[in-house]
Amino acid sequence: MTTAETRSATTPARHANRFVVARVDEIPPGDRRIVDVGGRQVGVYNVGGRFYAMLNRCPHLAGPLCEGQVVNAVESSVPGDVRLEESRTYVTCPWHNWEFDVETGQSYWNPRLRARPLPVGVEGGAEIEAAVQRGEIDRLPGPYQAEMVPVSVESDYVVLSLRPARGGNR
Amino acid sequence: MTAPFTARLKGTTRDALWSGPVVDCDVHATPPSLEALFPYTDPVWVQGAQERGWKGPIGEAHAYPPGAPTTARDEWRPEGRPPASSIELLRQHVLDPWRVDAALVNTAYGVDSLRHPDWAPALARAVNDWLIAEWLDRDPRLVGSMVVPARDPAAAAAEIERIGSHPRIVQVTMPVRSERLYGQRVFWPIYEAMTRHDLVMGLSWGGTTEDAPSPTGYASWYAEEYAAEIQLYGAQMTSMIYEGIFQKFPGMRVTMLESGFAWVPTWSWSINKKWKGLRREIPWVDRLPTEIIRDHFRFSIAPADLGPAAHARKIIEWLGSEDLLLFATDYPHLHTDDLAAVLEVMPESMRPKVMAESARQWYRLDKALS
Repeated sequence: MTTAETRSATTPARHANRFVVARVDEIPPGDRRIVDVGGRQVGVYNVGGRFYAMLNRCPHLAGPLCEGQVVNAVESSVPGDVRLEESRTYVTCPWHNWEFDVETGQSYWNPRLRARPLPVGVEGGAEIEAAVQRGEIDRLPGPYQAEMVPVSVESDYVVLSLRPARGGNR
Repeated sequence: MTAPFTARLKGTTRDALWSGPVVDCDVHATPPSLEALFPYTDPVWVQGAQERGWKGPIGEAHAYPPGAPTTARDEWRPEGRPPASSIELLRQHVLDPWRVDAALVNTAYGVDSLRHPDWAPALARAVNDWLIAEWLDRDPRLVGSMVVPARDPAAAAAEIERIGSHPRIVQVTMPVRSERLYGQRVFWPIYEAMTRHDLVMGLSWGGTTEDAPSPTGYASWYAEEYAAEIQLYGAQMTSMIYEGIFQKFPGMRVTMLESGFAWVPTWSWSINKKWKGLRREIPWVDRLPTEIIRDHFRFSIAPADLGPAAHARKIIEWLGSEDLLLFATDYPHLHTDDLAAVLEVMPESMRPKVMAESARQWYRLDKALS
């Protein structure tokens, strides 16, 4: 009876720009999932319990950025001094291995070059259900959908926004 | 139409080529014989040579083979002694006709061909003391490049320590052929001493015959070997950049002598590209190799090997900097470059830098010659 039931899950609501992409426990720390949001592929990363999202498109030659490795920064001041900087995480493009900061999308070697990060967060099930009912939020196909029907929802959800992370600045 | 082979100023005049100041960053001085070094050699090695009948490094025997046109110009080949073996000849052939403000004397003498741990450093000391006494002390326009037993970094560093603070010594010659690549850490003592004395590394054509002239081994023919050596400059440059010596020794400066430079843009694009994707392995390389090259490398323009003018203009543009090239005659070698044509393809603003200003700055000549 709800509008959500009659829409194709991969065709977002006309005005919705926020999407439930997974249940929190479906993307454990260190894992990633590439989701299709209305034809746009987005990588959603869990890095140490925090979620990040990035358009699956390398700003270099449009390679499938999110299919690459997720690595920590390697820092050094002089040869022989090599440290893994675990507070910084890079997504590396599988085509040329260029590194992009998972948080800002910034390229390591050329700070003017940016991948496209998207805001993503964890929200409570009840709020999600209410927002879905109001048509403000859409869902992607997934096992969590079954749980969207009951009124009482206990899980938290990973919610992706397609609004640019920074004011239209790529 | 300009006359070819203008380094000898035949068929043209110095002012027709360039009316501003001139610094020649590569002229050679060759010990006329091993005996000429004896006054500067520890007696134990004088007698050592006499006992054995040793006549000097093997490199000398084929540095200037008579009749080999690529080694010395005919008119720069004196009777009865090797080319470039006296200061009078240098004055007559280069310093006076070119009216140079300064010339950097590189001694072509293969001290590195000796593997003897005591004799090789002794020979280097003799060559350097000879260079200072018989060249630098005798003409106020000359600065010098010292030789070191390059395959023995501790001994090389000791020699830099001994003579590197001489005000007219501005460079340390290292042969481009070596057993190991120069970025490797075994060479760091040399760079530590070099940079402490604010000396430039002059990466020079040559090296010992037992070190292969190409990264994949020996050539069959002289022509092949002559051409192959260019690759070594690229290999050494890559090694020095990727191994991080410019982060370890930020004051390190390298002049590529007789390397040509037409290959530099494409080579540096390539190592830029590799670095972008593989830099995690060499994370001390904190910026594009082309930027490191601009800060830490210079290239002499003899030979130029530039090809047609339209291409040459592109190559100069692709260098991306007007500061990288240094004028040189490479006296007494024969290069078939038309210097007028080389200058012609450079933007006007670049010419005074190439002819004098860049070398003046790079080698701190105002201080060295004051």
